[in-house]
Amino acid sequence: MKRIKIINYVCTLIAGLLLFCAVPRAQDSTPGDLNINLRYFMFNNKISYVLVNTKTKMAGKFQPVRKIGLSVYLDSVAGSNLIGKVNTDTNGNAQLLIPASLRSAWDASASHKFLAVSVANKQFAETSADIEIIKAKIVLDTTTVDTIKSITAKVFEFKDNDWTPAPDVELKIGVRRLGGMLPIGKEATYTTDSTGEVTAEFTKLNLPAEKGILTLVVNAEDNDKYGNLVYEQKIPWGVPIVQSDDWNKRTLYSTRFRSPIWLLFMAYSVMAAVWGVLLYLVMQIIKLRKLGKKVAVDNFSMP
Amino acid sequence: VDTLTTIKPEKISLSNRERIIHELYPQKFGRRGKIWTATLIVLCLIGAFAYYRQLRYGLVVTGMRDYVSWGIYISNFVFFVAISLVGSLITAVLRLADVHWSTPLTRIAEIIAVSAIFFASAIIIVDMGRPERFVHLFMYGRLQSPIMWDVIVIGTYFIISILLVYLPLLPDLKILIAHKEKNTRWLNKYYRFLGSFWRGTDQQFKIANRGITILCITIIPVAFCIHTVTSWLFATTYRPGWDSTNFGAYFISGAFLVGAGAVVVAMYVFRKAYNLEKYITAEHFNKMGKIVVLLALLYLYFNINEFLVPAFKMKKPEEEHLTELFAGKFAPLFWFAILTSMIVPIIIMLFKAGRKPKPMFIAGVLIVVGAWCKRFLIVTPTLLHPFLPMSNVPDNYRHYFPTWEEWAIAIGSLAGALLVITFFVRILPIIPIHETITEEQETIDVQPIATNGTATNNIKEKIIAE
Repeated sequence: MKRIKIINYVCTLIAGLLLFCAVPRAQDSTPGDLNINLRYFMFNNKISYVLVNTKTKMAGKFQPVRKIGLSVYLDSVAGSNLIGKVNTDTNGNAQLLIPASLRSAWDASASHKFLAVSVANKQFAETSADIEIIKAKIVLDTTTVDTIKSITAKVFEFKDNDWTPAPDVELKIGVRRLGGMLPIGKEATYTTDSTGEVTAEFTKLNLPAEKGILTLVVNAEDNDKYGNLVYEQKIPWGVPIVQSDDWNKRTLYSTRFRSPIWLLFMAYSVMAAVWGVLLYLVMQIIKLRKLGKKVAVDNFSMP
Repeated sequence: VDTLTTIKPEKISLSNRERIIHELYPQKFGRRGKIWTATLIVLCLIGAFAYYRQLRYGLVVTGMRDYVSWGIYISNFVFFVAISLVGSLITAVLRLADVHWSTPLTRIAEIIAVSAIFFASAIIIVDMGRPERFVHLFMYGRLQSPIMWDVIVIGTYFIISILLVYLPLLPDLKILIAHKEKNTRWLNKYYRFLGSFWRGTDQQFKIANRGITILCITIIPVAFCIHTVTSWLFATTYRPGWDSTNFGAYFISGAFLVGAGAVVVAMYVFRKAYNLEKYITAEHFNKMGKIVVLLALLYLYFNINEFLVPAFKMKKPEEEHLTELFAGKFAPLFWFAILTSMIVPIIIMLFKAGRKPKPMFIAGVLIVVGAWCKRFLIVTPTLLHPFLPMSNVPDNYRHYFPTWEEWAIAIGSLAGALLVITFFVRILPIIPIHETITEEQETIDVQPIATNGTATNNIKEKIIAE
C-alpha cells in the first residue's frame, strides 16, 4: 500500500513537471496579433508601389507571417479602389504596384491613403492597417565647377495642383555600392532648406566603377509625410575598372610558355655556361683521342 | 693544380712500379666478394619484383595516400642526392686546395657520387605513378617549377661526375691495357674502348690536367645547386617544417657530412677487402676524421637553427609537427638520427683514439644510417601535419608506414648503388695507380732535398721542371 502511494506521488510529480514545462511552451508557440506594416515607395518619380510586411510575436520574438492573404486598397476599402490581392512571401513581405486602372483616382488628389486588410484564417483574425502620404518627388542636378563636383537635390510636394518646394525633408545622398549605399560626403543625411533644396559636395573621388559610371542615389526614408522617395541617376564620376588579367602575363605560376623573362634569362645563362664548359671538355677529350692517334701513327712510321 | 703530373712513372724502379700496379690492380672477386655481389643482386631482383608489382597494380601497393604522397622513395632520393655531394668535397675541394693526402680517396668519392646520383634519378622515376610520362618533364616541363630545376641540375651533375671519374682514369687505363694478360678478353676490349688513345704525352697530360681543374671548379657550384634546389622542393612549399630559409645551407651541410661518412665506410671496407693498408693509411683516417668532426659540428649548428627558432616561437601550425618530432611518435627516430648522425660521431672522432680505422668505420656507419633516418624525418612528418586538419578520411590516411614493396624497392636501390661501386672496383682501380706511382716518385725525389734543409714546398716546382 505504501509502495502504491509512493508511485502515485512520483506519477503526480512527473505529470506536474510535464504540465509546468508544456504550458509555457504552448503559450510561446501561440501566435500573437497580426501586425501589418505598410510602406509607400516612389522610385524615380515614376514608379509608385506599396510594400506590406506582416509579422507577429512568437516566443518573445517578432516572426514574419508567411503566406497570409492581404487586400490593399487606395483611399477606402471598396472593390473599385482595390490595388491588389497578394500573399506574403517567406519573409512576410508583399509588394504591389499601383495599377493603371487607379490612375484617375491617383491623379485626383495630392494625398492618398493606403489600406491593407488581411484575410482571416485559423491563426489570425481579420486585421487592417493604413498609411497616409502626400505625393512628392525629387529632382536632381549635378554640377562640376573646376574640380569640385556637387549634387543638388530638390524635393517638391504636390499641393494645390502644383509642385511646391518641400522644406525640412531629411535626405540621404550616396552612391550605390555592393551591399549598400556609400555617402558621398561627410554628412550622413542632409535636410532641405526653405526652397526644398539641398546641395552636397561629392567627395568620394576615385571610386572604381564599371566604365567609371556610378549610380547616384538620393532618398528620403520613411518620411512621415511623403513615405519613401528614391531617386537614382547614373553619373560618370567614377574611375573605370581596368581588369588586370594575370592569366596571360609572364608569371611564376603561369604556363610553361609564359615563364618570366628574368627567369628564362637566368636559367638559360647558367645552363649555357655550365653546358658550354661540359661541351668544351668533351671537345678536349676528342682532342686527346686525335693526339693519341697521331702519336701512334708517328711511332709506327718511325724507321 | 697538377692532378696528373707529367713525371714519367718509368723513373721509379721497375720492381716498385710493378709492385704498386700489382697491389692496386683490379682483382677478381674472392669468395666473400662473390657472396657480397650475389646478395646485392638478389636484393636488386627483389626490388625489381616489387617495382613490377607497383607498375602492375599502381601506387596503391605503397603506404602513400592523399596526405603522405612522399614516402621513403623521396627520403631515399634526398639521401642519394646528399651522399653524391662527396664527389665535389673530396675530389674538387681538396684538389683545388692542393691537398695531396686525399689522392687515394678521390676515386672512391667519385664513384660513390656517380652511383648515388644515378640512383637518385632512378628512385624519382620509381616514385611516379605513371613513369612512362617522365618524358613529359622535358616535353611540357615548366621552367618555373623547382622540380624542373632539379631535373636539369641532377642531369648536369651526373655528366660532370662521369667526366670527373673518366679524365683522371685515362693514365690508369694505359696501365690496364698494357697488362692485358691479367684481364679477360672483354675487359681488354672495354679498356681499349675507353682509353686506347692515351699515350701519356706531355700535351695529353696538359689537356687532361686542365680539364680536371675546370671540372673541379665547375662541380662545386653545380653540387651546391643540386642540394639547394633539392632543399627548395621542400622550402618553396608552405608547410610546417619546410617553411624555412635555412633549408639550403641545412641540406648542403648535411650532404657534406653523409658523403664524408660514406667515404670513411668505403675506405675501411676497401682497405680490408683488398689489403690496401699501405695506401689507405691510419693517417688518412685521422685526417678524414677531423674533416668529419668539422662537418658534423657544422650540421649540428644548422640543426639547432632549424629546430630551435620555430620551437622558441611555437607557432600553432608548427607546434603539432615539432611536438611529434621532439616528444611524439617520431621522437625515437628523431633523437636516434640526431645522436647517430651527429652527437655520437663527434664524441668518437673528437679524440685521436677515435680517429683510428675501426672507430671511424663505426662512426661512418652511424652517420650514414642516421642520415637516412634524418631524410625520412624531413619528408614524412610534415606531410602528416597539414595546415587544414584531416577530416572524413580513412584511418590509414592519417598514418604512414612503408609497405614491403616500398622497403624492397628502397633497399633494392641502395643495393644497386653498392653494386655499381662493387663492379667498378672489379673492373677499374679504386685507387689511382698512376698518381700513386707518381707520388712514390715525389717521395724519392724529395727525401734528399728535405735532408739538405730545402723546403718541401719545392716539390711541385721540381716536378714541373722535370
